[in-house]
Amino acid sequence: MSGHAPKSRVATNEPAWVKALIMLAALGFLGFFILLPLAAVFTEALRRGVGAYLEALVEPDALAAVKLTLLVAVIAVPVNVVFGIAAAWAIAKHKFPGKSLLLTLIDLPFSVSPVISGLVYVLLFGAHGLLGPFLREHGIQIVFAVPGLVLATMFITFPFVARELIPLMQAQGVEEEEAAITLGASGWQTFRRVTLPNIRWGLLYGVLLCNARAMGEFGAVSVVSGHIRGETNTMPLHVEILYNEYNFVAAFAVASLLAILALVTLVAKSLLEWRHGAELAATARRH
Amino acid sequence: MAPNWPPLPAAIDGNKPMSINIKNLTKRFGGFAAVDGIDLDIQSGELMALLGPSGSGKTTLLRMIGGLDYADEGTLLIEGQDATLSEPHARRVGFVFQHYALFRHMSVFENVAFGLRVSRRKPKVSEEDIRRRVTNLLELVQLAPLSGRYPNQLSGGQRQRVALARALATEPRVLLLDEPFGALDAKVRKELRRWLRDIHKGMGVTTVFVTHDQEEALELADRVAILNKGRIEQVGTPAEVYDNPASAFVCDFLGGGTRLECVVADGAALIAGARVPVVNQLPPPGPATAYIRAHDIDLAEPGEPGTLSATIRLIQPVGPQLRLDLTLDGRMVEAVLDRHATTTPLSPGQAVSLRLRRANVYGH
Repeated sequence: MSGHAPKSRVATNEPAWVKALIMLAALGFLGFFILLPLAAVFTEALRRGVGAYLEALVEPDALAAVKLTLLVAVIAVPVNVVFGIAAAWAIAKHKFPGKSLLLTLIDLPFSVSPVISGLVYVLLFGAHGLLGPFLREHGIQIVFAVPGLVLATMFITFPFVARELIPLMQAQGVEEEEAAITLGASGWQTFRRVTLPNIRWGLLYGVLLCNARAMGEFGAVSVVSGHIRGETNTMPLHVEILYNEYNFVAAFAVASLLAILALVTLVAKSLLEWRHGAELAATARRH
Repeated sequence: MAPNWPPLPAAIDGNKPMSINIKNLTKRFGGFAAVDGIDLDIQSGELMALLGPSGSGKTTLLRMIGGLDYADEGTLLIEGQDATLSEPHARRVGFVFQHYALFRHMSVFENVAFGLRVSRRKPKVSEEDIRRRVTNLLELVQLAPLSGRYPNQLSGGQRQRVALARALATEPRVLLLDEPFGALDAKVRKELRRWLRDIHKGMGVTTVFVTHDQEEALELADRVAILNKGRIEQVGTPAEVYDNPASAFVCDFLGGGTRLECVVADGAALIAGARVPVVNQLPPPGPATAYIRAHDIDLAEPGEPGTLSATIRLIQPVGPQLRLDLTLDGRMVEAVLDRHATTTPLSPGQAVSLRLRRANVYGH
């Protein structure tokens, strides 16, 4: 060490030049890998001006992709909210055989490559799949149609709500529910008046993440979509098609919508963390 | 007396306290019997303490009375009616939880109003009645000015009082409290004890509380049931169980004092050869254990017959008391003397004679 260390040095404090170096490295990394691409999306999208940008967005196939993405999210997110609350409630507030198995299964979509999840649905519901003949007889199409997209998205996003709620509900315990029951509340009243209000911010947080993933999912959706323009292309798939056609302005224009969704999600998430951080960190026992 | 008094209004009649009869109640968790065939009768309007160390089954028993756990065997009668398997709301019990279990997202007012809002009784309680009842209860527990606060803005003692008001709001006929003062500091605990007794007296509701604190049980309860390993060791008034502990466990748990080995022979108990007066029934001849409370030891004139010689190790004046640590036959003995009545000068290392005024003796 160079003999002139400051007199009031704290053990956990590094010299200024070390701090600056670490901070610069972190910021540089962030800038290069995240901010630069984000800026590139918008500059590419606006390269030919605002007119061309808006035109690319209202083009019928692009509009169809936006509508389809919204439709998939509108179905998948509420279904996952119901499933997530049910699973978290069962796991956090009850003891039953097979509980750890259920917990592991909930994590499955996190550990499996999305492409494989999509492939599973093709193998199950596709023309040559397990249920293919049955579905064909009854005139039901799942793969290469909207139902397949919804199923694949639900599979990919189902851990988000449950994973957010389980630690929160476990930390809160069952005493408040027991109190409600001794005061004469029915099961439904207990859930609506006690359990649900106690998890509302955690739930909102989970919904936000679930929604972002539902709208942005590419891999699983790509396998089951069939890429029929204007019919089974969600926004991420539409971006890929446009890009492969060297239609950069249109590709980046649609991509910018997804980027805006990501930014809005981030802001909402930060707001939630800032306002209700203690609850979200599952340390809700504030007494 | 006028021959035709109007009948009592339903609300008062329905609110009269209830007796509880427990027969052979058993609850197992896995292979472990938390409550193991308990028989207990609780009188109408009684204040009953369930006293025992942790793991003795007292909380499980309380939860079964409240309908939060169901018995594997045995029956539970409330006012003569079988309630073994009935729903909590049908039992009309109020439950105060150890950690209060206040609804954290509701104000004090809404916490107390909860039971009235979810009531299944017809007709529904009107908003005006709810307001009046909750306000009355909050005045009773002296929290009216804090009705808009949330649980995390209250002190422990205040939360406890909200929990009690909430449990009383539905006019329960049985009030159950799980370690009601466990998490409070000594001063608040003392105040709340007195206050709970007043409320019990005023409302006359049958009350059962669980505690591991023998002083609390003896001070507060009309009768005390002492539990050990899922069974009841003894039931009686505080004076009965303190003066005549039925077993070594009860004696030990109620501040049994010093344990000394003794021998029972010829209808007497001998400690180091000296006869001691025994207050309970003498066990069969052979080796036994004697419990001597610190208050039941006196200093005696040296050489007086029936006394034991001991050596003073430590002298501690505590308020009006003089606490002595003594060695008797190689064993530690605790004695408490009246500081102002003790005129002989004492010092550590000094040899003294002890007279044991009374002992409880239990066979091995």
